[in-house]
Amino acid sequence: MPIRIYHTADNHIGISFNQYPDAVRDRLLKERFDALERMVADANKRDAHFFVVAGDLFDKLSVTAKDVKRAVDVLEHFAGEAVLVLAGNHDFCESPDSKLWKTFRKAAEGSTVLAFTAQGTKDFTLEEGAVRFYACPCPSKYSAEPVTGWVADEPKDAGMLHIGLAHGNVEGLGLDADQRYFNMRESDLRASGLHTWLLGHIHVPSPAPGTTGRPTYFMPGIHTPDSVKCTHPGHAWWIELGADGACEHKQLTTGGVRFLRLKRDLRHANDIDALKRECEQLDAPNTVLDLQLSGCLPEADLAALNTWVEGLASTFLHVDRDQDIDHLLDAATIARRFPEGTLPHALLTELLADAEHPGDAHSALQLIEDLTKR
Amino acid sequence: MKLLTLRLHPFGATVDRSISLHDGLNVLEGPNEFGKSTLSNALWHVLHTPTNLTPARLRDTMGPCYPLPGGDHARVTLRFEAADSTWSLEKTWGAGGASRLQADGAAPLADPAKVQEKLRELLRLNTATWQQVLFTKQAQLASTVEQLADHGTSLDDVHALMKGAAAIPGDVAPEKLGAALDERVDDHFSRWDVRTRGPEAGRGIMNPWKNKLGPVLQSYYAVETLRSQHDAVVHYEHELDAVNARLAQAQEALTKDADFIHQGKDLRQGLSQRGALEEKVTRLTNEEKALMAIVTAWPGADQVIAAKDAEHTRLGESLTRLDAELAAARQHVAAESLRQGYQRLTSAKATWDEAVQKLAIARPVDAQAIKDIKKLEQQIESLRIQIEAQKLLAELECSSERSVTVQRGTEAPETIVLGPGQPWKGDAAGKFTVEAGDLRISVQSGMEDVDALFTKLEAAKGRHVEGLEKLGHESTAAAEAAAKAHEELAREVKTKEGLYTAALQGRSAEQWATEMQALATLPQTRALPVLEQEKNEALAQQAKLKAEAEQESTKVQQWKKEHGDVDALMEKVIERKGQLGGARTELAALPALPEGFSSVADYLKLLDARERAQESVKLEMDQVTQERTRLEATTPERTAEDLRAELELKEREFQRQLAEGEALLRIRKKLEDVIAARGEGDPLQGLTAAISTHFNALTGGRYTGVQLQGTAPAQVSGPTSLPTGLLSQGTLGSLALATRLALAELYLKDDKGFLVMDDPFTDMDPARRTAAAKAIGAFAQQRQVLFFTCHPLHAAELQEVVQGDVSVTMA
Repeated sequence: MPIRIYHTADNHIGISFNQYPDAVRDRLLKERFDALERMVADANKRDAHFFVVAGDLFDKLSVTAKDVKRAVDVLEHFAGEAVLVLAGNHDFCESPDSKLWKTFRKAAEGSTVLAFTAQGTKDFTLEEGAVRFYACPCPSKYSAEPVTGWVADEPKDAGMLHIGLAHGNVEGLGLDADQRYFNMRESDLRASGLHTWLLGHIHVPSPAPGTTGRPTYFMPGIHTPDSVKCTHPGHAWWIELGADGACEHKQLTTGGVRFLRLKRDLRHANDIDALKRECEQLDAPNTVLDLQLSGCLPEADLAALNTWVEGLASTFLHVDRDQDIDHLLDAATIARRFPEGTLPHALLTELLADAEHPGDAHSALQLIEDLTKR
Repeated sequence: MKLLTLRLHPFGATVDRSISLHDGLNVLEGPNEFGKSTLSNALWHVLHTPTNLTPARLRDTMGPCYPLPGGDHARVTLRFEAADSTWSLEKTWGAGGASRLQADGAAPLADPAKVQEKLRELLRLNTATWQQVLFTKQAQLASTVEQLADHGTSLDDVHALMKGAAAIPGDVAPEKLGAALDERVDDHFSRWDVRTRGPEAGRGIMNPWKNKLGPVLQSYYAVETLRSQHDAVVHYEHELDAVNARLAQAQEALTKDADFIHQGKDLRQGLSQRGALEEKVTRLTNEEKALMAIVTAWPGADQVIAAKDAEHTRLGESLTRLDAELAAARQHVAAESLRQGYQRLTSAKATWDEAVQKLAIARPVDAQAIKDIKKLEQQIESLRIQIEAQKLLAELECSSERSVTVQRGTEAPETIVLGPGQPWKGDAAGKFTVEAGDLRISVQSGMEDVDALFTKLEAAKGRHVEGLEKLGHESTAAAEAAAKAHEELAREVKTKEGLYTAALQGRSAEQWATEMQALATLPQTRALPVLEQEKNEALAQQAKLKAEAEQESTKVQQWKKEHGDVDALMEKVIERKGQLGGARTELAALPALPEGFSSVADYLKLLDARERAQESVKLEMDQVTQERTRLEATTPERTAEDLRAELELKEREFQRQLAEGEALLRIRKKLEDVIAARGEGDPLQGLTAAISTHFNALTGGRYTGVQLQGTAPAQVSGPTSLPTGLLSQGTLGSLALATRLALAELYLKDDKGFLVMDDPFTDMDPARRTAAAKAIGAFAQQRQVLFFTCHPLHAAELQEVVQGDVSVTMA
């Protein structure tokens, strides 16, 4: 029988979401816990041996004690062998006196929720076999060097499963040009002599869905989206590791909200219709929509668009709008407003001909209208 | 619009007063404080100030118009004609504030906003035009030019008016649009340097501009401020990481040495005692060992000395015997040398005898005979050379085959065969003889007597042969060789004899024989080297025994001196053993030296060093902990990630503002192109001409023209061309009046309208004033003019100009 692991990371509990109105922020803050709760319930349903959080359970060291306790409460509902929580670079453990991790430990006292805040190994003996975890927690927010180097030199007892827990960037997977985030090389991870690594830090999952065999490492990605930068619905890994090292794994979808940025250039009523259809397909109550609209529309269409967008606020969890749409000006419109021969007509006609800057004509029109209203 | 009556009830200091106005010039003359300005203000407010102002604005705008003391409102009623109707307008500001506008026979308007909107329609021109052109309050005339220069674009467009029937409704004046665009660009890029794409004068957020910031700079500052905050947060995070790393390092150092130091504190006292005790035990052990050695050695010491003396004696006897054998052995060595000398002597005698025998056998050769023979040989050779020198050549030829004998010199004759065509050639020394049958031909050299030479030669040869025969040798060489061999043998005999003599070594052969016979009696011995080695060893052993015996003796003397006797020594030993036992018991009770250390001193030295290091680390930890506390107290509220997200938004806004600014610049450029392409001349030429005409009249012909910038005069021409800024107050007043009249003519050309002037002649000299009065009079012939003055003279001059009573009575 294999060892069964539920692997998550980068939950970022305590993230502020300050840019959102109170109600939206509350919902997003709650979602961090809700998603964690769902994962624990799912792990129990799957009869997992271990629930692994590979770093950044918390967004920052200054996360409130209330949130820490709440997170521990959720994790304590795990019914398997142990919850293994690794300190990541956001919730790094700078010393045994770390306020965050002292609070965490106190809250988790007497439970199977274990904090891995110092480099070391932890053995478990189960009916299915023995397993040794190699914990490589982050001692700081930034580091040019990985903290996994010691693992290769550790003796590896035969007949056990050897699994690494680490948090940081992996060359080739994430972008860390400055090498600030404990940058690890896949070749080093492979050469460490472990059966696999359970990692955190990069918010994009790895390996790609459909990959078979035993990957060198797993990266679950964020468990529920936190911004438009997260383009997936939030994931975790379900991993079954046989005593012989055979591996079965499955990507699980765990998020309950989506952040979606729709960047659209609208130049025709059809474009608006397409945008509407696209929005209708979305799970509006659970979606933070970020509309970035540009283009050029007739006045009536633009008014209709504005009315529709304003209406979205009542259905979507939240709507942000960054709109830069000009009134559509054409020769007929110009002629209707300014008789031929007038300076505005001549200027606007000239500006209209400049296809590279379609907004200029509209800007000039506004200026002229302001002027004539004085 | 034509004004009919104006009633102030109350307004300012006026409780209730009315005036009736008529067409043309209305001169309102009275001394200061008479109420002219109040009338002027009342007229302005009733037309332009709504009654629904906010309390603050009402207080600021209309408060000064409430009657004093304690007035809480002001009210004005105006009747006027406009748009083919007669209108009644009443406004009350303050308590009971209301507006009412009603055309005769029509429903009144009471909504202040609607009243004002209707008034704007009836007034036809915008407020700025009324304010800057048609309504000249006291002392405002002189600033007309300046006001127009600054705010001319806010006036109603004069172009359409200038074009008249050619004007296109909805057109905008180029300079008005240009100015508006310039204003927009200036506002947008205010404090922003487009060329360097940064704040003017490089003033970033460390030294920011405080006033007149355009949207571009505002958004730039917002970006940079946020970026600075972000950088500070990242710096803070790095700083915290560094402090934590130092703390962790210090903690590790403390943990690493903690056990060692903790254990060391318990051990230090015991180990310090152990050091001294260990030293004592070592010393006592050594002393006990030394005493025990003496105890053991002392009783046998005399026996040792005696044994060594006996051995010494025995060795002396052995050495005597060894010396005798050694002497015999040396004789044997000497005999061997004699034996060898005798052998060499015998051999030398034998070889000498052999040489003597050989010499005896060899025959001696006469040396003189050899010399003679050799002399003969020289003679023979000389003769032969002489004969050879007389060479003869012969050539024989015969027509038939024939045998011929030929003799050359004294050589043996030879036979040759001649034949036809086969000639024979030959040569000969001195003499040539040919015989053929009976024919004998002999030919000799004619130089010398060849025969005599031949004879001598033969004689010499004969003596030579004889000489050799006498010596018994075939040739001279053989004879010489025999002589040489004989000499060699003789020399050999002498050499061998010498060798024999040397072998005798100064003795006779008989002596040699006697000594040889004596050798047979010598006794047999071992080899000399063996005996010599044995002797040396015996001598060395003897010396050693002697030294040992002396040493032993010395030791005994020393022991006696130190310890007295053996019994006393035994007591000392017992005492030492007791001390040692006590020390060992004490030592066993003390803590043991930890493993890995060879001495207590080494251990304590390391312990001290680590304790000092730990103290130093603790000090550093205190400092770093304070530093961390300081940092934690300044923990930024927002994380770098939060700020990065916001920074993206700010940067987007900044880019948007830049793009908008660039669009404005493009529009401005395009506007310039469009204006240039339209190729219009000066659209304000008519206005320029009108102002010039008025100005010329008002200055008595001194100035002939003006140049406009927008609607404001910028330059005047006459005796000299001058910028308006350099004109005297009087001339500037004339220019202002000229400009106002010209613009008023333009604005009021299709409407009766009215012009208000409040004491405009104050700064003018009489000549200019007269001209001004004429100009106003001329203007008033077509339009209604309200002229307020406190100068009776000014009023009189106007009366004179219009030649009629133009005064207005205030009731």
